[in-house]
Amino acid sequence: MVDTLTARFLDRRTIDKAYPLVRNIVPGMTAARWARFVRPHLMPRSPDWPRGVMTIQNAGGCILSLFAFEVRADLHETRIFCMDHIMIPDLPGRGTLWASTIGAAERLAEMNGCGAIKVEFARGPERSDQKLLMALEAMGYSLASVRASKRLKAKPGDTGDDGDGVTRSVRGLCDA
Amino acid sequence: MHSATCRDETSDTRSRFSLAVRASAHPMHLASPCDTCQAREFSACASLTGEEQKRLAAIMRTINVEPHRPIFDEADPAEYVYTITAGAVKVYKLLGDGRRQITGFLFAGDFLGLTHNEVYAYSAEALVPARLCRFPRRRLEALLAEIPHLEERLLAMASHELAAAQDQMMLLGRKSARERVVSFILMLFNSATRHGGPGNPVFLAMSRGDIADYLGLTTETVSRTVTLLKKQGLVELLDDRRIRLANMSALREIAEGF
Repeated sequence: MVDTLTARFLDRRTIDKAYPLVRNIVPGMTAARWARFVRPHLMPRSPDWPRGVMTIQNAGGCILSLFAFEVRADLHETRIFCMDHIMIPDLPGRGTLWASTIGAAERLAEMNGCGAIKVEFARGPERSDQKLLMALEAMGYSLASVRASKRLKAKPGDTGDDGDGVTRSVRGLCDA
Repeated sequence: MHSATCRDETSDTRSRFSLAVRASAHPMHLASPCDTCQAREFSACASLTGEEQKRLAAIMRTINVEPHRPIFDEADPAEYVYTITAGAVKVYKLLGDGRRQITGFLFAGDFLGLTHNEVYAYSAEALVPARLCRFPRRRLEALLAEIPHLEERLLAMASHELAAAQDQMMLLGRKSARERVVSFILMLFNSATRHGGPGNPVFLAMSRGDIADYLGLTTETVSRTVTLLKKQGLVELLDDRRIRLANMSALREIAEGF
């Protein structure tokens, strides 16, 4: 039994369904916070500059991985395909899943006339990210670009804590 | 830590788990346990070639777990992955306030061992006497490197915990207690038929408390709903925790919210 993996856009009806995967990757994530985060990504935007969340599903409709994407203007490439919040569980056989996930991103980037793909890992060097980085490198991605990030202290009253013990950044609130 | 460490039976330091588990190695010169495995024909193992199965069997141990005994706990180092070959298992997470949330029920043929950063993402406990094939994660990964096409096949096996949790999210999306309970019973029926069983009557391996926990209802509500379904002639309650689906089309309509 080799599963057929299919790329499908996440829609409002499947937000909840994706939650167990998200909770697996981000322990402590609440369903409410996930829904609040992802809903704006699913709002229709200009067809020329699409954004959304792409999932990889098996034949049974189980969501095995997902990523958020956005087509942005870029001074050098005109259009770039940005993907982040990549969620791929640590399953045996995940190499196939990585290939399907990245393959879906590449097809989407091509369909949207993008000149490059930028992949963002915001959470730091977690082990699963490191493996994905290695997989990306093997698939021809350059890991040479320089990026820097800094955690900012939230102002008092701007913690974004919804009483679920999870602190949200101000940007996160804006996203919602 | 209650990890399924299934130590050597001669070990002086037996954990409480080791008392509940009997493990047996299957060296390659013995007949493969896969040859007599009843779950084989409806699990992903069925599609493995004889040679692939032999190589998997060489790194595998069979363990037996008594009811209500842990197989592993959330956040334990994820040293093993498992295939259930008999029985039933519940997977659950402990919430911050100490409550337990059951996120899925897994049955013979299902795969167990979803991790996050090398620790188990859930706890797993046997509901009834269970038998599992246990694979050391690192040796399995090494085997995948040697037999790349095995990777695709294992991925098909390895997504059962996620699928169970996603089924639960869909169930919780149903509005009424009646819809949730009926959908759950039909889910068990579908799972049993998919795994080669007759399906009807449905065997409830889990307690009503577990069902309530899984469906986000109280135990009383689950009991009341089942009693009502019985009074309406939609189900019959049999001995040995079995429930006969007496009117399948009506039950399906309820599950769909009609």
